[in-house]
Amino acid sequence: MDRILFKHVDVPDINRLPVYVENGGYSGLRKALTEMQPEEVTQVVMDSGLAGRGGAAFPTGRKWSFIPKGVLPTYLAVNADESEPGAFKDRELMERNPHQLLEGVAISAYAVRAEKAFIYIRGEFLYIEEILNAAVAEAYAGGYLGTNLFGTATSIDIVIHRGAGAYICGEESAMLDSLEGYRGFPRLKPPFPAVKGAYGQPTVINNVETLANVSHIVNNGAEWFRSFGTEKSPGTKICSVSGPVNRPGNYEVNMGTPFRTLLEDMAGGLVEGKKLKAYIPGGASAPMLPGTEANMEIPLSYEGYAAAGSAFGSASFIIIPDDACIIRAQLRISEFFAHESCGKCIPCREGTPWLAKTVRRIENGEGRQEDLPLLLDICDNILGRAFCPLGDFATSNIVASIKYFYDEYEQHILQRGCPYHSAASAVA
Amino acid sequence: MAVLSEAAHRRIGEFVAKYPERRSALLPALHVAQNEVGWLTREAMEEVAVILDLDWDQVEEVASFYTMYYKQPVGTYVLEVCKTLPCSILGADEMIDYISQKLGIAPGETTADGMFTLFRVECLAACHRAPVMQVNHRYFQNLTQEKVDALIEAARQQQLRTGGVPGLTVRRSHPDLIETER
Amino acid sequence: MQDLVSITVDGQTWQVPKGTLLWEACKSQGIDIPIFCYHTKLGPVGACRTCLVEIEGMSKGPTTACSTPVADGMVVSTRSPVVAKAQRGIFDFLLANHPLDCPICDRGGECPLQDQSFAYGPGTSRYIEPKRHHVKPIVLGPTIALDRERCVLCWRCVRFTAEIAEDKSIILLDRGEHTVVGTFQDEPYVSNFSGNVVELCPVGALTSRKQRFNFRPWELQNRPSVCPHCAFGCNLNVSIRKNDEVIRFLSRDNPEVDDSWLCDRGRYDYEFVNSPDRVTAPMLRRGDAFVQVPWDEAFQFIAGRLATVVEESGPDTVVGVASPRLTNEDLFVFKRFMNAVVGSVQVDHFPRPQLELAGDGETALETLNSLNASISSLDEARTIVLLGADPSLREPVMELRLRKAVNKHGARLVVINSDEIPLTGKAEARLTYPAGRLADMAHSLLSSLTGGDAPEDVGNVVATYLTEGPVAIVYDDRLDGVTDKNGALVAIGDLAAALGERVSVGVLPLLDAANSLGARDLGVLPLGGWGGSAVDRLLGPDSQVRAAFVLGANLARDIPAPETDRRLEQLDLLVVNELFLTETARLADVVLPAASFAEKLGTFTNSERRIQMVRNIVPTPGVARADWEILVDLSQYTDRPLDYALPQQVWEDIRRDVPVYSSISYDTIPPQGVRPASLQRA
Repeated sequence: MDRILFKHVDVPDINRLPVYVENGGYSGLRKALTEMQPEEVTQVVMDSGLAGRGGAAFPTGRKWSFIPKGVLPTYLAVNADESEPGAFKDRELMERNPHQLLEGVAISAYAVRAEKAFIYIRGEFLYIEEILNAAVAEAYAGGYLGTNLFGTATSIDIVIHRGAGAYICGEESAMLDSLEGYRGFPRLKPPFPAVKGAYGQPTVINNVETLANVSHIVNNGAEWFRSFGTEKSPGTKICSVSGPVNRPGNYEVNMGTPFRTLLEDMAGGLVEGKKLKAYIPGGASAPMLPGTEANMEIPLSYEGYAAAGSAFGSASFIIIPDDACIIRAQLRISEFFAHESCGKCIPCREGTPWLAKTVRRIENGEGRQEDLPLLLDICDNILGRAFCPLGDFATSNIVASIKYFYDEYEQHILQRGCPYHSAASAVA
Repeated sequence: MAVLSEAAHRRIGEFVAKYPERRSALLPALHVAQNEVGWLTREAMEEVAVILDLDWDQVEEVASFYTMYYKQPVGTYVLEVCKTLPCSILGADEMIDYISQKLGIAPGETTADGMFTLFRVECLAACHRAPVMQVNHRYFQNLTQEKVDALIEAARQQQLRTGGVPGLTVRRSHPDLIETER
Repeated sequence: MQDLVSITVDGQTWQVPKGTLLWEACKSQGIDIPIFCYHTKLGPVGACRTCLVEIEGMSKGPTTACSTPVADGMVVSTRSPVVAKAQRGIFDFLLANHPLDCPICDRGGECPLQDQSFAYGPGTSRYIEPKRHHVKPIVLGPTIALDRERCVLCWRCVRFTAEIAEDKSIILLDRGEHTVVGTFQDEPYVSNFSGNVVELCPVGALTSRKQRFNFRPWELQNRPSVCPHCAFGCNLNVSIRKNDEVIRFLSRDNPEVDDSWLCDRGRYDYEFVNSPDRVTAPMLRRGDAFVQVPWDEAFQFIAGRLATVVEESGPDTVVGVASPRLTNEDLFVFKRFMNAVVGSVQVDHFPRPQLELAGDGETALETLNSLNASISSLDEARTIVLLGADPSLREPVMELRLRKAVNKHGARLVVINSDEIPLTGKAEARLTYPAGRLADMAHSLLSSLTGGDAPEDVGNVVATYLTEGPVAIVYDDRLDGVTDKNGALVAIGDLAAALGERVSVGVLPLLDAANSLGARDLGVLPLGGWGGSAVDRLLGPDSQVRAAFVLGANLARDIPAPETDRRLEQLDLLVVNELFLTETARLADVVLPAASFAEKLGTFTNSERRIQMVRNIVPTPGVARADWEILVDLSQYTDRPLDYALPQQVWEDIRRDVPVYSSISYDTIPPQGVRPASLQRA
């Protein structure tokens, strides 16, 4: 199997600096700082076709190129607020090979002339904070972070900043507010972070997995990177697979690999006795797809899932088996978004709990026929009306679950209850 | 009256030094304060405000936004069980019911002896090891009833060993309780 | 010149300054777009999403008009089916958890949520889930009650306390649908500016504890006026009920003065107008008691006594003291009455700075007067110096202007005071001096400026902050507690003059009362000008004064001494025009019922010399009349009657007499007042 990010994951003690260096670590940083201009680094990343791995898939090199010249200081902020239900890839990248991330961060900081980079990890990642802090300390001691790196004028500091429990802080501008010590409210755009980001200065925000690729691209070149994946989605992707499968976990795949390979060959298929009813390809904010044969063959790529009417997003695959209730599943998704709405804008603050309460009523056997058009209309009133994408995300699975599992909703309404769960398990 | 130790002040000072602006140290400072006091008391928030040169209301405005900060007293062990979709599919709903019955408290409550608080929380980014919970913000994964039983028993034992001073809500994980497999 | 761009909204095309927010552009053209979170003075946050409009070429769908600057050629629809659907949807959300208790809500009838829901919302709600409930009302502080169920979380109140008043006390708590506004640990919200959050609130969530359940908005009519409580001259709408009762004060945005804010002292001090304790009829002393008499009898009595005194002791044994809270028209007729009818030059206003000004002091005052700056010029100042001045106590809304100048316009604030003041925290530099030693400090500043000796810290401030203009100086004209008042004033005047040779300088004094500057401009001063004092003459130990006219000045209260009462009691004639039976009025021989600022037409001159109108909004109680009318009527009982029937006629004489006012005619005073043409450069 082709691997980039997980290539060294099984090397014992790869999280320790000497082992990382033995395996070629920090050669990319050395090369960038001693042999390349920042613009050249940006160019090779642009040429590689690397796109944001957090979900939005925005071309990374282009994002860097938006940083205005001559406005200093600039900052790099790393989005490690991994909070999308179904996603746990960044956690493993940081836990298993922290220096790979630090090296990517340092190179990227150099590319945008930032002397300070912040890695914003979600609050619950207490142990990741410890791992990263240990790695950062090693990197400083080894001369890979700090001042005058490799004898050049370049200085790079990395600060690990831990949040405190808020999905919205994965939205890049909310993350900056949180970094600055405020409530995690998304900011009005424009100005965009590239112009006015952290502390009012030009700031680039990239996902962990995105930056973990950078040292490999610098070392091996854009063409090499493009030899992985598809033309439109070069490179590999870490896919998180959860649910009742035999080997849940993270798998690095070549973009374009069919979903069937991921589910059956890598994750070992569903556990005995269960069949695939539906799956969500890109975390809770991506629309679910029914487990049809056709949907088994979708190539793992941004374009593949866009064509199927869903989203590859953070490649977080949640497997929903045939004995699971779709309405209960939807309830958990809707509860999640209602809980995580920051409350800044009205459609999201009022709409997401309304969705959750309505789905809960249906699951509890108090649904009405008119609730289904109501749910869709509430979604229509949130979608594109909310301040940030969280509102939109909250609608995608309502729409998808009603589209694909209308009968199941109707069954709940007509039978006045859930066919999968006894009345006693009615949910709070 | 200071409620935070000198060590806490020092720790917060270290955070302050890392950022271009003092206020950025607010989230880390609140973590430090909560670790020491157990939850974010008025006094703790006031002291953080003084350290960071903020108004006290700026501190509470931020503290109240984030779910990991406790605005009420909590038990020595805070069990935060994930209820989001992947865990729910793999039995989180039943697991929460089980823990709730075992401890005799509903989610959101603390046992009468002040040892355990139970919360239902949203996704913890450990979906491949569902069902999952955090105890004092340390992961406990692939939960089974037996594992939960053992954990609760160990916690009770450990509490006995350390004496469990009434009113002392310092929450510190004992190394015994940290699962080696992350 | 501002660049103009052309935009088309709902088929209308017009030009607006580049950078204008689309919502503002539409508003100026009379195109209504619903809004909650945005407020002209608070800026956009894009949170409520009610102002969604469609902009041609924007692929993302409807956009918030509040946060979108206009661009040339922009084509906008505020009424398309997509917009209408979006608006209906947002109002559906807004009302989902709203208690809909309009019949018992103070806001009902003037509620943006009610009005805009009616215009843009769905007819009925589809929300059948249980609504959120909160304890209500919550006492937020001494002045404000909070109903969290009605709150739509526009966070205007939060932003006002954080960004405008900077006494950040109302905050957002919790998250998502559980978000509420509140205070740190339920501490009371205490602010000098708390009433503004009630006015900013677009629903009935924040209400005034003083005014709760006192009225229904549809009973009220708003009448423009000017706050009578200090010399800053904030503009008001006075809400009245049934044409005769003053119910509340609301702000009436004057961007040049108050910027739409009021202080609580001004906002909540209105009950005196309708007080049952008002003097409603002329009263004559009969022994220890007063009896009400007709005007005719009161005037006969006064005229008789006055004639006797003048005949026996000469006109200069009659003095007149008027309050600077009276209108220019009152003060002018008062002065003319004293000069022409009584024949006395012993007129004065009180309270005022009691200066013993020699020639150089008068010159200093003239210098400072000539440098009088506009309030809005604070926005252009590079440096603002508070020299022995604390606006927070004297002219509270100036504090908000200063904060704005610093926050929005980058002014550098220098606080020079003997004490901490609320604005100290806003200062980029500060100097302190021992209590009372303002004169020395001003001398040091002057000395440093002109190359003389000065302490190092003073020198640094001068070098850093006073060498680059424009510089605005705010000083406290009252000079309370200053040991050498004359010297201080001279030094401040010299400093301003010396500075004026180097950079552009403007001066704003803090004054005693709403019309202190008017009293000054009209020359309501005794023989000897500033150095004289009709009050000293009246109350002094060897006083020869036998009769006094006191208009609204409470000498017995403000100069508390047994001697004051004794002197006033001994007079052969003490006439007091008053609203209430004050300590001074109780000592009078005759008390005449005067009209309040809400009961007469006239003008005030504020501390930037803006002429603003107050109006007869409600009828006077009983037979009370404006002070000037009383004096005109009284003069008919003498052989030198005054001939004024209307305040306009008085003003025409003021224009002739007072050159600085000559350019202003009554008919052309705009709703927001006007500064004399000669001053408008500053």
